[in-house]
Amino acid sequence: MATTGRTYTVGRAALPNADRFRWLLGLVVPAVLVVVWHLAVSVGVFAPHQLPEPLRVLTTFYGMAASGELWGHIAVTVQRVLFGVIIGVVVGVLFGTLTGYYRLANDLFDPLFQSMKNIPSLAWVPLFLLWFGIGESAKVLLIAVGAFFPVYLNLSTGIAGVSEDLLEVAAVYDLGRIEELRRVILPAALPSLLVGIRGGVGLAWMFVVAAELIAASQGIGFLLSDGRTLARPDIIIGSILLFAFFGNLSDLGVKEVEKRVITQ
Amino acid sequence: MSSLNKKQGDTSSGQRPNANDKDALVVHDLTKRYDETVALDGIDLAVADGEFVSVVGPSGCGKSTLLRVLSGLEERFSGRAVVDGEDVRDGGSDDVGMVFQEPRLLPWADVRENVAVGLPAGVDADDPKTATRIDDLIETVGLSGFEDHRPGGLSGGMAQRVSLARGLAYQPSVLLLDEPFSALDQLTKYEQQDNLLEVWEARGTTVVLVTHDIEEAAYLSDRVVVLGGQPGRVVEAVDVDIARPRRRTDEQLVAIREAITGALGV
Repeated sequence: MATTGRTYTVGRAALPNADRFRWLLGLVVPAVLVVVWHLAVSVGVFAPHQLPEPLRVLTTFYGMAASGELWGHIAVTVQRVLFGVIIGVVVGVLFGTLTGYYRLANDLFDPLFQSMKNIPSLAWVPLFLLWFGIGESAKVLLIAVGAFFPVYLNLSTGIAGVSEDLLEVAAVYDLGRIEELRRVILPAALPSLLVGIRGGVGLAWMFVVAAELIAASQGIGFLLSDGRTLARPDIIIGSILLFAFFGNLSDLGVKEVEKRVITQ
Repeated sequence: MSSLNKKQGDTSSGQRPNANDKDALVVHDLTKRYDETVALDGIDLAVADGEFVSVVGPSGCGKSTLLRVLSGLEERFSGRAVVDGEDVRDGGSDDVGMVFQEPRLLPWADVRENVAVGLPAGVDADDPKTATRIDDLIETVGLSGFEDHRPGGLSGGMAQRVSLARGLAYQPSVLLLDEPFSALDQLTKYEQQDNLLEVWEARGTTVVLVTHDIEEAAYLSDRVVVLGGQPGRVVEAVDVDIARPRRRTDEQLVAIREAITGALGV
C-alpha cells in the first residue's frame, strides 16, 4: 500500500515539471532549420550573396547594435506602431461603441467601414503620402487605419451581442444610458474588444512595413529596403527576424493583458 | 374604483373588495397582444401596500408577461397598469423592482457590485453609508462572507439570493418575482421561501410573486390570483386568511391548495 501511495506522489510531482518545459519543443524545428540553413550555405547549395550564413546575419546585427545604429531604427518603428495603435484603438472604440449601441449610427457607418476594411494596406500609401507628405504623420495614420478596423469590427459586434437578459436588468433598475454602458455593456464587450486590439496590433505591424518600405529614412522597414538596395541579404533577413520578434512580443503583451483582465 | 368592486371569490376579477387609490399596484382591463396572439385579456388586479400576492396559472397563461408589463419592459398594451398612482409607461415602472426567473447577475462583477446595480439613481456609490447598506442587504439574504465572490462561484440558490438583494437595494414600492425558485431543489426552495417571507415581513415591501407552484403560492401569500387559459384571464382570487408563521402542513393550507387547484380546473 505504502509503495503505491509513494509512486503516485512521485508521478504527480513529476508531471507538472515535464509540462513546464513542453514549450521548448516548439524550438526544436526552428533550431533544426537554422542548422540546415547553415549547412546548405557552407556546402554551397546557396550562394552567400543570396543567402548568407546564420552567423553572418548575427554578426551584422551585432555590429549595428554595438554602433548604436540599430537602436535608432527599432525605436522609430516601435514608436510609429505604438502611436498608430493608440490612435487606431481610440477611434475604433469610439465608432465601435457608437455603432454597437445606436441602431442609427450602425445603419449609417457600418456599411462604409465594412467595405473599407477590404482595401489592401498598400493601396492607401500613395494617397497618404500625397495628403500628409513623407513625414511621420503619414506613417502613423496609415498604421492607425490598420489598427482601427479589427478594433471597430470586434467591439461593434461584441456590443450588439450583449445578452438581452442583462440589458433588461439595466432597464428594470433604471441605470440610464451612461451607467448601462459603463457597468453592463462595456464590461460585457471587453473580451471582444481585446480580441480586436490583438488583431489591430497584428495589422499595425503589417502596415508599418508598407509605410516604411516606400517612404522612410529610418525604421526596420527602411532597413529592409536598404538591404535590397545594397544587395545585403543578411540585413534583409535580420530585419525580417526583428519584425518577427517584435510582432510576437506585442502579441504576447496583449495576450497577457487579456489574461489578467478576463478572469472569470 | 368603487364601481370595480367585486365580491371575494368572484370568478372574473383579481380585485379585492376594497380596491382604492392607496393600493401600491392597480391593473385595470390590461390586454397585451403579441402580433396575433393575445397573451393577457382584460386583467384586473389590485394589490394593497405591503400585501403579498401570488399569481398562479398554467404555462403560457401570460404570468410572466404580466410582470414584464408591470416592470416597464413591455410598453405596448391596452388598459391601465398603475404603480403608486403612476402609469408604468410614465415612470410608474421606476418604483418596481424585479427578480427574474434566472439570477441574471453580471458575471464579471462580485456580489457587492451586483447588489449595487439595484441602488436607485442618485445614491452616491462612494459614500461609506452606501457600502454599509449593501453589506446589510447581503446579510439580509444570508450571504455574509460572500461579498467578494463572483456569480460563477455561487450555487444557484445563492445567485438567486443575490438577485433578491439587488431587487431590495432598489427599495421598490412593489417587488416582482418571476418564478424565482423554480430552478432550485426542494430543500433550497423551502429555505429561499422562508427567507423571502422574513425579508417581506421585516421590510413591508409589497410583493407580487408569479409561480406555477400551488403549494408555494398558498404557503407564502395573503392572496392567490389564479390566471387561466390562453389568452390569460383572471379565473379566481383566493384569500389565504391563515395566521403567520404558517406551517407547511397546516390543514387549512391544504384546503386553500384545493381551492386553487379547483380554480385551475385540474
